[in-house]
Amino acid sequence: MRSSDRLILASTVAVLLISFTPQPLTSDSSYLGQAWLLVIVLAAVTTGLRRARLTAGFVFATQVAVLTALLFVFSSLVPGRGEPWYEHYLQLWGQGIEHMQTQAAPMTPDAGVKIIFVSVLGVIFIVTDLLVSALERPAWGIAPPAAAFAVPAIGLGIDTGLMAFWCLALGYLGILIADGSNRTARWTRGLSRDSADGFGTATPVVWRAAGLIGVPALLATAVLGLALPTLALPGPGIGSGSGRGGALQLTDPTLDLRRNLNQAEDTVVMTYTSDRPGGLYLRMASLPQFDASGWRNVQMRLESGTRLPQIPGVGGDSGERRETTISVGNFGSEYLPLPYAPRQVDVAGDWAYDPNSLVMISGDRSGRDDAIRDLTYRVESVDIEPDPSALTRAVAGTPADSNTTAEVPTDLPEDLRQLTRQVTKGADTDAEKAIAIQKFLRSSKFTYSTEPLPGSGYRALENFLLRDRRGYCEQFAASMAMMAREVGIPTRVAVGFLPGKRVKDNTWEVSIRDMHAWPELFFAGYGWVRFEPTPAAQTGTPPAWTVPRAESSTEESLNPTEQPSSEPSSETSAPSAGPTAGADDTSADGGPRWQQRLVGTGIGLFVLLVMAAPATIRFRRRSARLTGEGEPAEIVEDVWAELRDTVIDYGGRWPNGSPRTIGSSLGSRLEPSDSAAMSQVALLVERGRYARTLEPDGLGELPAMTQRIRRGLAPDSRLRRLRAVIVPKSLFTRRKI
Amino acid sequence: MTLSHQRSEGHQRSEGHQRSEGDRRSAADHLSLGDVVSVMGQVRTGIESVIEGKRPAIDLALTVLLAEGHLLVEDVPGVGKTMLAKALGRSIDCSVRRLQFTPDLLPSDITGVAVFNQESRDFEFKPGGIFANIVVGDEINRASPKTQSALLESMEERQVSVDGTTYLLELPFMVIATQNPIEMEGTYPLPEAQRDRFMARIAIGYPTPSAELDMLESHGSYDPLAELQAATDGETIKGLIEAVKGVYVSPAVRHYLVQVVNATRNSRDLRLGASPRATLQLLRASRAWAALSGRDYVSPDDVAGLATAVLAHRVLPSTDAQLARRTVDDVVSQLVTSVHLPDRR
Repeated sequence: MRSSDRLILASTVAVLLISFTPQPLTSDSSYLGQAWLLVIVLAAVTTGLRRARLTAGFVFATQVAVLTALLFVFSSLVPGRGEPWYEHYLQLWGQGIEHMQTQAAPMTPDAGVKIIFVSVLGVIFIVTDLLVSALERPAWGIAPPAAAFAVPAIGLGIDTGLMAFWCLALGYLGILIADGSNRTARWTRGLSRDSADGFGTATPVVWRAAGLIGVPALLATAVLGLALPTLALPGPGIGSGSGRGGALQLTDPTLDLRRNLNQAEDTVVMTYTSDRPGGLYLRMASLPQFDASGWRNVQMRLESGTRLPQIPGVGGDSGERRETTISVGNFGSEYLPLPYAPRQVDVAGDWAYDPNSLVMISGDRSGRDDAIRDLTYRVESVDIEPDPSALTRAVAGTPADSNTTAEVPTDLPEDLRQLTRQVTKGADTDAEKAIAIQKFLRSSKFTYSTEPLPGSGYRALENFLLRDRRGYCEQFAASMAMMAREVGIPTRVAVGFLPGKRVKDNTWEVSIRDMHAWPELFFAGYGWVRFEPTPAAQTGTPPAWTVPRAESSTEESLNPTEQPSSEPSSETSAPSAGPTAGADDTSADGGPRWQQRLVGTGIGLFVLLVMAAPATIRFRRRSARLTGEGEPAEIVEDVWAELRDTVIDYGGRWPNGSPRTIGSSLGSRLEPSDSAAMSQVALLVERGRYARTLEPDGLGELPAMTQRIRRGLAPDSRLRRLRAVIVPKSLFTRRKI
Repeated sequence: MTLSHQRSEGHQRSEGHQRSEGDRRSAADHLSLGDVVSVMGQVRTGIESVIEGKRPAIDLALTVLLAEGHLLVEDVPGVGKTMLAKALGRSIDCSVRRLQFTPDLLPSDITGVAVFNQESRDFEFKPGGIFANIVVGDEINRASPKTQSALLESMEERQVSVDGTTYLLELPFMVIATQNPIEMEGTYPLPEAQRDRFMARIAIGYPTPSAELDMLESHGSYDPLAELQAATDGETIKGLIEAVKGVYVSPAVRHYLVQVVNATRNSRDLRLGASPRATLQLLRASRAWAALSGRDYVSPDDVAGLATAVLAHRVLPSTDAQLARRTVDDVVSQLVTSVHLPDRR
């Protein structure tokens, strides 16, 4: 096989492998056939042209022509309206783009999407071939396939999966190996030393090195990839991890809220029976993201299973378990209504949970909207009921997803900030501030109404808080979550149902108008704690822990004129046996923090590893060269190669000519003693190359001499010396033969 | 002065040499490359006492001697061409003949002639000026082409044929010819075939001012040439020539050498490239040069350093190069640098 064939073959394989990457995006895999045909035809044409030793420009032009011709054929397979083919082709693109924008992955089959995928893969092949073969930069060959890999991974926020990564990595490795064996065949260097004396004799070195570097690197990245959490990406899409393959698109739970609240007929949608007294807030979804457009879902990393992990922010399974059986009637959703904090769910079907919010979502791909309709399931949960007096001393904690739940948008209007400061003035602890905010919202200034002033985002909040003061649970919950977040407490908005109406002992009925939204605030030691800013008319009494037993003076000073719209719960619960805030700060948050740190350290180490790789390879190469083992001539050649790379590393140019000329040319830059060493090395190289034999005498001093010359050659600029260590140029320059 | 002028068909030597050939041979055979440096160092010192500051020219002359070649010294009159030739001859204890080439010099003056001896009633061969170890051909381009051609056979084959009889020349045999640049008046340019027979052409060049000052001092009071003592003899030189043949030439260097010669054939600046004979002579000269430098192997530097001296007088510049006023020396040395040196064994 010719060296040019080898590179084209490697590029072809790389592109064929990468053609699987967009597969999760579409349910129609037929693009693969056309793409493969296109790539193979292009590869065959390229091989022929390269063999004929035609110029790179001509090869490129022919490739483009072949690509155009085949795309013409492919697009003409799709029936058009008789317009010229290029218009037809462009229309197909437009159609495809529109299809992609309107559909969630996996998309339904579409001719436009297909032609886009095929075109892009063809272009990727041409660009890869251009880089690898024509420009002789095989190392850059990763860029075009990586772009194909990155588009679904980053651009569309879709987890491309491990297989796609392996495809990319294997393709790239193939290109590098092809190039490596070409280099050896051309008498150029192997990886560790420069002693490739004949055709292919050092190929094992390349293979060995490829195995040595490539396999552990691939394994390491794969393992690290599993350990790292999926990056939280903006957008309503919720990615599902743990190998579920593909993403689930979720509806915005708040959309239904107002519609359901305004239902003319208040029908019962579910009933539940609990083994302990008291109604339950049945939580469905959680909106942790707050920005100018309001409260939104973020991408979640879903885990399969019905046994839920540790409750965020709460150490261990504190508190007694409550067992509840829930029967959903005529109500459809993909979210499973659950009391907080659920521990274990006994439910039929495919369900996944988000470890941060403990929200459970149907894993079924079809008919998800009806996942809970007529479903009966049993849930074990732990009630989060902080002790009121203890809670007033609580401070805000740091949840695992604090980058979302504690983030205050920088463009939050100043009047909202000002109002928050005014409301929380005088409150000492974070919990007191939260209580003050709830009290403010529950005050008589605000009226419950399902017809608030129209508006969205900040505007809606301003309308509600500063102007109209009319709204329903969504406004109240959003306002409290926003204000609490502004004072530094991580918050999120939960969407679900109010406890409903008690029908029997511990059996409750929930109707459609009980649909509700409420804020959850994160306190150290307590985890996510439910607050209830929506007025009593709708929600009844606020949670016991949100109202201190003795009204403190701070509250009075805060809102001197207002009367509590509802009396605080008369029940004075005994101090709970729950952990105290101080002791809990570390233990409760220890888990996620520890994980965060581990992941952070992992990323840091990985980055360091990547950055240190060239220096390490260079160092390894140097020490392999200076071992002083082998034939005398080889030892000398290794030293010579090391000196050459040193000169290149330091940004110099390796002179042309015989060892002697090079030696004297470099020696002129050195101190006299180093210069003598240099000419001695040059003489040894000359003897090694041209004399009948080279006596091994005096070779023992070579490493020391080399190091001395290295020091002598080092530039004065510290920056250039550093660059030579971190980014050794010699690794990236291709030596002419 | 001994001459081999016996009439015979075979390869014959003079009686004197035949007599002691056995022991001299063995002495010569034992000479090693180390002796090349020491013996030639003495010779060089001797010549340098006559011609100051011309080390490169002297080294080239010694190289040609050890490589069994012939030397062409080309320069303007009066820079010491003949002095160099004579000093080299003096430094070696062997037969030295000087032939002053003039337009009326006849070929038989060079080769010799058979005259009828009345007493023996037979033809007797009178050897010409070529019968010597070192022949100094002064102003060779002043002789007619016919006479110049008489040198041809003897230089290449080291033998003389007169009247159907072949006379072997004694070894070592070296012609050192001097000539004035052909632009000078009254000169016949040397035929190409003959130029090709010279291993190297050197120019002596004007001395540096300090060397010239030293020259005034020494030549003013005494004749340094007359005081020059022979540092070695012809037999030793023969041994050294044999020793030089043992210098190793690696395949890479051979390859490089061929490429260098080949470059002269493919160059646009040259109308005529160097001959295969030139390749062979460049190799021999490189061996000798390496030996003189005390090495037992030829390095590409040796080839590159000798290329101009060995090749330039054999090639002819193209019209373009002539119009561009580029000398062949420039063209050849540029060609040498353009040949890529293999970076490996």
